[in-house]
Amino acid sequence: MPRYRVTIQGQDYAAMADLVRKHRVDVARHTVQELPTGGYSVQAHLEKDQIGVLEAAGYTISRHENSEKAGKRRQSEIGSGNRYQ
Amino acid sequence: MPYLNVAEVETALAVANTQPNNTITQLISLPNQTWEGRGCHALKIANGTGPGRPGIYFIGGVHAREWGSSDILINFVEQLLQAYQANKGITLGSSKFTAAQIQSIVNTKDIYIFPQVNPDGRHYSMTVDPDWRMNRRPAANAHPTCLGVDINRNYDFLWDYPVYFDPNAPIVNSKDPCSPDYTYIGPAVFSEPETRNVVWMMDTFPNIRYFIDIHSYSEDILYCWGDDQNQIVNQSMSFQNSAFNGKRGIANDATYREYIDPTDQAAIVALATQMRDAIKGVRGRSYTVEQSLSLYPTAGTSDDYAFSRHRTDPTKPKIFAYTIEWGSPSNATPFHPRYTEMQRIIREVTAGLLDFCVRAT
Repeated sequence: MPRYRVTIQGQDYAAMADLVRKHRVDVARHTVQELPTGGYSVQAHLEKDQIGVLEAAGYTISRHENSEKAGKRRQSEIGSGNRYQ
Repeated sequence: MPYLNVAEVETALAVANTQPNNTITQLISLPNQTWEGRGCHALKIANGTGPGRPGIYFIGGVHAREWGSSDILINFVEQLLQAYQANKGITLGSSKFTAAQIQSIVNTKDIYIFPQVNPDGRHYSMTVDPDWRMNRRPAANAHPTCLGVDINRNYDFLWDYPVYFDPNAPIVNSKDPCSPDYTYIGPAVFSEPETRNVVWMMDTFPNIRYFIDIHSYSEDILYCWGDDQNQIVNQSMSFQNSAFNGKRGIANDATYREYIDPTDQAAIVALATQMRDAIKGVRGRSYTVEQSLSLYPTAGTSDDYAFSRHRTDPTKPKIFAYTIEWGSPSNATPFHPRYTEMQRIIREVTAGLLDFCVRAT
């Protein structure tokens, strides 16, 4: 299942609390922000089918990268062997 | 230069403990092997012994996907040892540490570094699933596809959270091994060997007075508490008081707020603010100093456990405890950004840690 880093916008505290209470979303909890236009935003990591569920529940989701694919690419930036031996 | 793999972190510690450093270093074998049978080590850096030397304890590599935390601590070790041996200072951007300050850190304080608390999880994240967060505790028969425990929810601080928190609190903890937010707290408090290793260091080295757990991401320096908002007035309104069970964890309400001694809070925030300034001096990134509680409370975390120990057992020393969340939310794959960006983060957090070591007394 593809997994994405996203920014989720919710209209109020209750909606943001429900991300965790009800939907068990993997939130980056210190990215939560109160928006000047009202409501809140938070970054999170979601599987593709979670995105549809949250959108149907009234959240606005902005997708960033496919964290699974990008993370796999990033694994090429890990040392091979042992530079200390 | 790539991220350090799991074996390299361990070897880097062993190399740091060789000549000429080994008169001022001690490689410490942690007592508990991981679920996959890995041994873990910490390093003590200290020239001298005796009472009155404050212990400063840094850990990293707790959450598997936050690869760079271990790299930060290995870089810190290498920079500190090289500068000490050469009797030189360290310059990181406009954050400068004199040779005298470096000598003073090693000659008057005991520095404990445990850079890779969760090698099983980190290896799995680096080789299989880059988003993996927890350790690799085998699945229970009842949940055969659900592995792992969130080590940073497994400490003895309000661990059995349904007892202590308001049922409506949006707490980022779970009793479900299959929870999709990867915050399973484990079958018992301190059930995980990785958690017990972190605690063993605090128990074994009672001069530890300061503790920083290095995580990612959001560019924050977090201080206690994480269960509810702080208050400095009512000492009886605290995690130890069962009269408040079922009332914790709702931000911005007056029903419950966690007591913190005002003198402690001022000192804790002052150290964090100075660390923030040292980080900013490297390339201008401004980390936010704030309480660990956000909109979302937590229980069972390392920092709250460390800072609560002296309250639950007055024979234990007071430990000022922090969590650093390195890295910007603007980075792609912020748990493991491009290594070119990670190298900049390593430099800025190293500056913060060095500044902390200078000022913590």
